[in-house]
Amino acid sequence: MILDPILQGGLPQGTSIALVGQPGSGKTCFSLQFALDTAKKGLDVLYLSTENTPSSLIQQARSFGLPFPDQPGKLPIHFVDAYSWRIGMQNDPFAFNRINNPGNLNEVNLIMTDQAKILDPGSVVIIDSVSGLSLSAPDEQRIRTFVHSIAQRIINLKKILILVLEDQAHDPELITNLRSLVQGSIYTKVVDGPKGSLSWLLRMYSLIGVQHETKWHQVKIGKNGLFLQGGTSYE
Amino acid sequence: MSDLISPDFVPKSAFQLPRGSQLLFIGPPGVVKTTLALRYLADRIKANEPAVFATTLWSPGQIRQTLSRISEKNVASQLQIADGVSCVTAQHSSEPYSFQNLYDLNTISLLLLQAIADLKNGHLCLDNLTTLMTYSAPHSVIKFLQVLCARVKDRGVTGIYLIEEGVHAKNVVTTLRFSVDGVVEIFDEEEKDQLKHKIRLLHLRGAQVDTRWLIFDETKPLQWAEE
Repeated sequence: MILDPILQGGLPQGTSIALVGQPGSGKTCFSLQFALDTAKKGLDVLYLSTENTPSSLIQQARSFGLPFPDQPGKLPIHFVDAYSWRIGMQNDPFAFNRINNPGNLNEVNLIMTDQAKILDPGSVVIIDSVSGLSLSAPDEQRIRTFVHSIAQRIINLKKILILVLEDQAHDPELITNLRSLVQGSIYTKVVDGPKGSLSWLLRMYSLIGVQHETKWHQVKIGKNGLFLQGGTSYE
Repeated sequence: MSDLISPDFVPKSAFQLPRGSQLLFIGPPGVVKTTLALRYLADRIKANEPAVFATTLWSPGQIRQTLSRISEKNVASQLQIADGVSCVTAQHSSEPYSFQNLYDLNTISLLLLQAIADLKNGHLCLDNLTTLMTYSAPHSVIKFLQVLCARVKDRGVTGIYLIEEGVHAKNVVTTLRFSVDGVVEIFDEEEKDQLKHKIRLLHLRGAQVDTRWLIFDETKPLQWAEE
């Protein structure tokens, strides 16, 4: 599991966590790796995608070296496609379900919790991203109540909820408010490395009820996908 | 029973809390506000004083789990919980007090007063005001807190109200701050790559306080930052 260096035993069942970072800082990549790890343990993943079709997500993942099969149905990762409606596209081969009106957050909430209900405890629900949903939603107030409600429902179902948030795409007050409605936050960022290279970093910022490291870890790509390298100091 | 409360995990010199004080805990998300409040309630339960924890964010199960992690086992069963979460997940609550919804502040206020009605030397914690402001306009929550504080104080019950820093407009937080008797600030600070939680009591009506920073560690008593 990618989070093993930070949390022994991974995220507990019934957790909601915000994954916050600027565009391009590796949030989707981390989410896909987390989905892959979960699927390898034999648990299901429900992945709502607002910024990519499921096919292009898998293509991206494979180009980063994440071991995703190139055929649908091989892994218990169920993509909910909330992107194709924008371009009027036919159903995506990798999509398990489709949302045609992501601006209706009540419906998104119902679709996700209804589908999560039948999965085993410890299964993972990923919403990539809340920022994408908020663009179609009528106002910010709905986003706040949506996050509060879906987080409580997924926790109650003993699943793990990951909410992807674009840092700096919203007022800082909204991000802080959404973070306060979930149980923990993971931050990602990109910094300049040696010789003009870039380093991708990840930090478990907080998680109620769990003792964990708060160091920044470097995200690396190995032959089994992403992994975290810790112990080094970064500003 | 003394009229001043001094919890075991706080250095004696920091403060002594007059009974019936109303406190606001303020800090950004993820800075142990809930854990600190639970630690205080656990300390009071051990001193045989009743405590009610009203939650809008963590389920009663999670609250009891956290409480039993930071305290003895039997403490968690003695905490009374007012459940403001089941109404969001559309479930029946097994707690004696449960909210019908999160937007009707009058009903919430009445429910909380009902929960503390028979508490002698009791303690009430509301976690948190930010969730209530997710459902209601800030000015309604301000009014709600003003009335609630006065009534809770009138019953001799100590109140702790949690609010997230960095979410609300400055004037809203300032108004809330003068509705209560005291403010506890909680921050985190980078130290050797790790985050450290720092706490201070900013002011407290009718009491002398030491406003230096204290360091919070889940398993240890609070310690002064520079020592």
